[in-house]
Amino acid sequence: MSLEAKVEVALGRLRLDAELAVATGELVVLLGPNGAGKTTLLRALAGLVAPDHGRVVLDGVVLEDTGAGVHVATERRPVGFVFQDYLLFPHLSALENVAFGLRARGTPRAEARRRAAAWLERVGLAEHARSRPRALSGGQAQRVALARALVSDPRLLLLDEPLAALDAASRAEVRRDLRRHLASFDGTRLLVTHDPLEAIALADRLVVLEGGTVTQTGTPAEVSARPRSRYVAELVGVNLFRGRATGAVVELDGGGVLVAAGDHHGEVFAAVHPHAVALHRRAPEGTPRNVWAGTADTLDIVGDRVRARVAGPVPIVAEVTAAAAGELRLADGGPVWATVKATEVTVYPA
Amino acid sequence: MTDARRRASASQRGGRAPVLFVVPAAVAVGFLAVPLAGLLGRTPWGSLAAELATPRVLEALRLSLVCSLGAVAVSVALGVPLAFLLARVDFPGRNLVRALTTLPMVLPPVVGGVALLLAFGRRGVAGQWLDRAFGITLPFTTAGAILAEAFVAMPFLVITCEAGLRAMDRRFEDAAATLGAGRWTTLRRVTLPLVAPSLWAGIALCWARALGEFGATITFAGNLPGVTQTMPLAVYLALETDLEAAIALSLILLAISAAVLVALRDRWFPTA
Repeated sequence: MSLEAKVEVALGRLRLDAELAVATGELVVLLGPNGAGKTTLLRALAGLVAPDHGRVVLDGVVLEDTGAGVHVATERRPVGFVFQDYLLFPHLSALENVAFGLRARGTPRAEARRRAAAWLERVGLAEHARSRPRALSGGQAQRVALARALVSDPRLLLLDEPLAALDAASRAEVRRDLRRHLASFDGTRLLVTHDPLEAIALADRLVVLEGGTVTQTGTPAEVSARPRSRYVAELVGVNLFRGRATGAVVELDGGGVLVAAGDHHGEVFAAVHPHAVALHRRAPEGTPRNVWAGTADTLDIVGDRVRARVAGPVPIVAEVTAAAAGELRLADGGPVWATVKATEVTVYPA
Repeated sequence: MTDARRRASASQRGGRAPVLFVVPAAVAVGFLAVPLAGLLGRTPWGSLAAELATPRVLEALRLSLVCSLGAVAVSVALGVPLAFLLARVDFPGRNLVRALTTLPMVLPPVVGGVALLLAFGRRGVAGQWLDRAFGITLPFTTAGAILAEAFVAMPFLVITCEAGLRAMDRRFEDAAATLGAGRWTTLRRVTLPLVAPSLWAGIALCWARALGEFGATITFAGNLPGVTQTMPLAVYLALETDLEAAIALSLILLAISAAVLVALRDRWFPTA
């Protein structure tokens, strides 16, 4: 592991207590709701926030160890930081912004400018070298910020919501660019976002941070298949239940029972994808093991599909085609039956 | 004016003048403008150049420049670090220090002069020591005039500069630190350039105030031609003997004030 960090810090209402490990060359995305402590964690790794307790080791070098009284100053850490709104120095040109880090670390002016120019070229902004930040578009500013952070060869690159400052129209394109540039940097990368699309598009591995603690880590596929918190479940659009399993039966914490396939025991999560939930106007016959009567109360349209929240003994979100929603006259309200096959219930230990 | 601002002001209600306010407002404008018109009206434009070239006027002009620029230099050297500490360091008694710093702005300048005399006069607490240790006497010297002007003018620099430092987004300094810049590099290459507009505004205000300083100077430094007799003092004295010289000197001071105002217009009247 090239970055190992344990950071405990109390800042206002935030109580951050997070542990994190990132391998060399890995791109980890730190995903979490606003106020979860993502930015604070990044700032602590960069030395901009002093943890109350903690230890940060990068490539075998101890940057922070509150127990041993070690705190390497931000300017001495081999860490590049891309800030949320980039924070390009407004009084310096793009080239001077990129050269700043080299100059501050003692590189002679001519060489600093040469290397900065090479980086601007690399991010496709050679013709904007003389531009002031205010003359750059959001995407261009982001690339200057990236070049500025990477020009002095950091061993750890931290990116705080690098796409949040952009409008929706340019975001997709900038995300593609960012992905390419990030791929060309072989150091350790840690990116913060609250946007699941961004997280899934960029991450080798996800770390979910909620309320100051890490609630889940794994590849994007693992995390979306087996969410471990309501936040993640909502992000990936999955029904998540928690309960106690005995064999194939899960007694849910909120009341009700869910029947799954297989054999499980103890505290578990049970996930059901909304498109695995079928809706009927009459009590269904046949084999489904899970049947609940309820009322479809809210409707959401996702593409050509309709999502209905069925309130009943086991509240669940169902996703049906627009045509089916029309036939079922879901908009009229009234009683519906929701059914889920046992094989569609994913059960995993809590 | 930016488009956004224009839209904002256009969307505001009103524009119709309340009659009740028009009369006092007109009187106020007249009250402020008539004296200036009087000054301009009485200016002997024909002989102005000759009047300005008299040794007495030139001497006062030279001395005013020396003293006011000296006061600005003292204020920058001491006031900028003070502004920095007030803005950035949460030390005990900070509000007290800020109040003390601001006091000369509201204190009658004559009182300032008396206080300076008691502190830095030959018998004063600090003056005695300066005299004994270094043989330095301040009252009735050019250095004393500089000191008096700095006492009155420095708060303007400190206040403006502190406000600029507080308004600055400190995350730029974080960004500089992540790029390997230590404190001094950050201060020199990021903080100072970003607060430069405030710093310059503070310097302009400080200089204008120092240039017009009268009460503290005459009380502490006296009114010695060529040594401590700056323009405002010369104006006051000339009023009795040589009205045209007084007018000429006043005109210079008025022109400088107007120039400072123009230089700071974007800062003070951003939505004209």
